[in-house]
Amino acid sequence: MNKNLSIWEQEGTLAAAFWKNGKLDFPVYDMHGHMGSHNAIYMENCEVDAMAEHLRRAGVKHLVFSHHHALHSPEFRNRDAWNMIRNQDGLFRLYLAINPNFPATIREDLAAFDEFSPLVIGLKFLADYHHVKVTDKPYEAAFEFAEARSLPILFHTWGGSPYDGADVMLEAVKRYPHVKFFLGHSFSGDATGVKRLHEASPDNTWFELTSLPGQRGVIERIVRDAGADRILYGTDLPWFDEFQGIGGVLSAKISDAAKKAILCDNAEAIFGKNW
Amino acid sequence: MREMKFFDAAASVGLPASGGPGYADSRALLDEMDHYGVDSALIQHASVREVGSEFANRRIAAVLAEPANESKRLIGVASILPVSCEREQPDARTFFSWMKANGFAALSLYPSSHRYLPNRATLAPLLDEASERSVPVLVRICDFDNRWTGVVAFLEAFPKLRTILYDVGLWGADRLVRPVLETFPGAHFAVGDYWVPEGIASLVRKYGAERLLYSSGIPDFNHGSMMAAIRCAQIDENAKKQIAALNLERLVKEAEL
Repeated sequence: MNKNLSIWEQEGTLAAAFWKNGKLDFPVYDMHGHMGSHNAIYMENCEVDAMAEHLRRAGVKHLVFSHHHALHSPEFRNRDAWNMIRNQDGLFRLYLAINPNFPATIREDLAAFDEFSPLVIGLKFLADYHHVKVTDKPYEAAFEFAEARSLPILFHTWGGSPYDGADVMLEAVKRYPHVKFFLGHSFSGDATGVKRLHEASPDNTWFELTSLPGQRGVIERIVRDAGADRILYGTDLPWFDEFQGIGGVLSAKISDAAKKAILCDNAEAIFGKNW
Repeated sequence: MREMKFFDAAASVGLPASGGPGYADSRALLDEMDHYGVDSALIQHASVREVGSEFANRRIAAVLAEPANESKRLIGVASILPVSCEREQPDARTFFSWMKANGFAALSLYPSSHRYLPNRATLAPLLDEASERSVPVLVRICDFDNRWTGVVAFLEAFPKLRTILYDVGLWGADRLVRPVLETFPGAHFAVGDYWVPEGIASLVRKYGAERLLYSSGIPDFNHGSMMAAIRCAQIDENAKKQIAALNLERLVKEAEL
């Protein structure tokens, strides 16, 4: 490394390639997205076509998302979201939004899981917003479905949360050893959550980065606490920009191998190269 | 890389009382800026909210005078206080002369942390002079009581002021930022935590590139992620250069201290 040059000028590095080309020479997988309008935030680019254009421009091969409206209203169903992405050449993949306050809807959506495959790849729990603890009864059916099939569940997790904070998730990862726990936001604000979860259950936990790339030293800490091979890239798109997110990963003081693992290799290790 | 300069509108130096991350001196901050290719920065003290304006301004003056800053890549931001409290807030002419002599080019205010009302009764003699002299004022949204309500009242009280709004929060501030940019022509927006997809291009289309400024928010954020976002925004190269550095260079140059 030439100390007289910035990270963007170091020949042969991922940062230099991204600076020059605006994308990387391998596929990026964004494992945490949404779609649709939101109550609290103006989202100019939140519908299928605008999101697709942004993703393709940034070199993202798949965005795995749950639809805002499916998460926040029983009047919009996962099937509606699935119908929106069926003609997008597989760019979008779906987590079934699980609202624990509507058990009949959960049963119906899980029964249709195979029909939705391969575009549907797992489930999404948003316990902080639904105000139901992840380990409580209303989530059981969805957990058992995922456990039987070793499916991924993307959890919104937050430091100190009584619904999906580290203490709660420690209980869940032990109860469902075959579920792939994608821990969204990596317990944002709780500097010890990643380490505790990784030490307790290293084989079924992955730490997802939404809102963290660009925050100084956070990716470096998660790499130290869990290893680069346990980290998944995500943006909450349409909340956060792919170029800021990828730029945030490339700005972290970790090796290029670790950056590629986060952006690409770890997702391929779970789903294969041709998912 | 060198075809684009970066001038950071929101950087901090000094060690925070919380024990959190920080840069002890100009050398440490400049090394970090060099790692990412940032050329210049407006700097405030990391503890200005907790330790107060007098101490923070003196410490920033000392940092600016360090040998590592001989090339003046770091430029100071002086925190102001109510003009009635004369021991700690000199009159405008005296204060601006001190700023010029010590390498400062902008003002900041922390009315919530420093417990005063950011209105004409409290600040008019100082900020009317700042308006006349085009001295930019950094406005940290979360340090105004009632946040945006307080900020809008402040901008209404000083409509000719050149302001730099920053630290708007990560979670989508368009419904708050856009009306301010539309209503107050002197308002500029430092985009350090504006992570909205294609958001920079949208703001440029609507308000022009000259209203936007690169900022990092270091030490809470790193320099790199928003450099990449500006670099890859769907705007012309000149607009990118304006946002990255030229707009802030102009604001600093036009400040008549």
